[in-house]
Amino acid sequence: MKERIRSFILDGGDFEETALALYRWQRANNVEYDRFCGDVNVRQWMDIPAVPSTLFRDLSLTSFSVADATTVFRTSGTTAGTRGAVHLLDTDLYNLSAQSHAERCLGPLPSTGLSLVPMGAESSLGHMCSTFVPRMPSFFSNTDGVLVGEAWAELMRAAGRGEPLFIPGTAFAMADWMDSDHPPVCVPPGSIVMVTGGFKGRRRAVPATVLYETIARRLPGAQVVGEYGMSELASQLWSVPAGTPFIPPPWMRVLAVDPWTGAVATRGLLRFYDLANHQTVLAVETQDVGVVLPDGSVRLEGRLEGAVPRGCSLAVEEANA
Amino acid sequence: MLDSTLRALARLRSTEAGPLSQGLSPENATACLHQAIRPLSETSLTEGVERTGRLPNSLAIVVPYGVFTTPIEWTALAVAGGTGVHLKAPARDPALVRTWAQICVAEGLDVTWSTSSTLPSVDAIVAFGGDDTIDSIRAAHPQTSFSGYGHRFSVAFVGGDPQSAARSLAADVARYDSRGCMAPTAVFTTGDPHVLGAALASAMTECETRWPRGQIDSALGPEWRRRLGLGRVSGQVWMGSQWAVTVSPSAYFTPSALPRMINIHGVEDTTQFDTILAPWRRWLSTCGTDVPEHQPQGFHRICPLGWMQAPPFPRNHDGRPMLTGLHEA
Repeated sequence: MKERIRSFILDGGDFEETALALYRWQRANNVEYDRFCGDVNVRQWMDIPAVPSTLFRDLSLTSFSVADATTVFRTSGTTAGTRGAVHLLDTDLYNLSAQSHAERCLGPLPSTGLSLVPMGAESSLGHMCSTFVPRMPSFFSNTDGVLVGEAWAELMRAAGRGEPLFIPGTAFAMADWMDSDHPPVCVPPGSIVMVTGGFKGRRRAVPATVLYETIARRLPGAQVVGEYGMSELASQLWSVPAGTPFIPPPWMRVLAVDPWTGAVATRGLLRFYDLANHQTVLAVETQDVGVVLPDGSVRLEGRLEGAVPRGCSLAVEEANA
Repeated sequence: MLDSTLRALARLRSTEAGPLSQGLSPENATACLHQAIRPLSETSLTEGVERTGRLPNSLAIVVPYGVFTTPIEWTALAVAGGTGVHLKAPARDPALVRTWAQICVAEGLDVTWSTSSTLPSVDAIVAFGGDDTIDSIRAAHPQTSFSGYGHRFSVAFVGGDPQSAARSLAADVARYDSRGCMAPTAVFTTGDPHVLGAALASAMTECETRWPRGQIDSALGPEWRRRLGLGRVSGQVWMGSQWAVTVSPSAYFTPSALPRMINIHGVEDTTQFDTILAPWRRWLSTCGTDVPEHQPQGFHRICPLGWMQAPPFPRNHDGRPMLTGLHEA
């Protein structure tokens, strides 16, 4: 099955047919997912049961013995304090998927850069960025946040070398970095600034359009793009330029559903069907809300609003914190 | 004041409950309203006023959204004792507060209401809601006597016959569609959880017919599916069109109730039950149980199954006698 997915990523194929084959394979090899699905009748890819991303806090959901995992990605736990874990036997398909779709959307990736994302071993985002640009220096500390002065200094040095730069960062890290009064730095042609994530749980929020404009003004010459990904998904979506709808790879489909009934809707909770999720489950239900456009791209609208208070009972988010 | 209060309660009881209920079905709303008013008699109100002692001259009650009957007993106790009451209604649905205040005024009782978060000058405040809300109200009125009731949760414990436990438990789950801090978020049992689950499934079906579920907050969908998933993967699931029962290991206990869902966890004994809940002690409210000799630690109320959502009046609420001590500014 892995070779079949690899072939799809490299050469394309019939999504419906491959998704149904992968679904059957995962039911046969992923005991937890098989039990999760129960006696559901699946006739098309949209029928494939989607696992709530929060279940990765409780279950491993692997299509192999979890003891054989060589890589663990931890979820960010942005709403609830508990972090989920995604176990992988290897990152072959993850890397292939990430690189292929990034190059499809962005063109050839720069071979050097500087990072404003957490680069820890258990960060899928850090892993992706390291795959794109190995040994990229990071100026984000989990304890101190963005190392603002050091990042500007490194940018000056790197820009002076004249090679295009890859500069990934979370939205809040980018906002903190842009807050400094350092003069603009003209970056070499072909440089890419990647912004990902939002401001949930942060002490301040900057509107996305303001952030993109600020980056473009402070780093003239850079192409500012948006990335949407999560530990539970092997593939990412790209927004080029940042602010436009996110484009999924050909080996991924996205559905918006009614948050309560799960019925397909124009706008709703987003479910991702990712063939590159070969080792876990191909269908994942997020807690993000958006609109799936006719061409399959996605307009993100943010996180699902929390449930309204239910009297004096402990709210779901509090209980899960 | 006592006679006027009793007349007001009688009028409220005869009011159509559905539109006041913040989304419950008309049948369930009526059952909840009658259940909330039933303990408020001449005898109990008199006892309540005497037990409370000196009351403040004026009181504001900050009413939460979710359990529509919350202000009734607190208002009744206060006005029966001669206290003027201002009700701060939940802005998203003030129907019960508006109706209740109008009825009280018609009976000559000193009751006002508003959805404004700016409270009038009063001697005391009683506030319900999230811990952050409670803290902010307290901070905004540092000179006012204050009593706050933040978020809590309740659980049930079944050690006896699953069939009789199931009938009572299903009623506890159905009332208010599992809203409020007295709704059982989970059931722990020393018996066979699958036998209890099957019995509960049958009882939930009966409840669905008698007291249909009301409106659902769609934001609860992902968590609903997460718990169903945990049940399917690690235990068992029974589902009706408006309810669900799951069995899963106690490691998956989540202290937050979902509408008409009940999660069953097997435990070895009462010691394990106490151990599981120990980390949550500051949030514990009510334990419904069919083992009277079991007195678990940390709960403010221990009651028979079937009575979890029907607390006595007057009582200690979250460990404190209702309205007591509020005259001390």
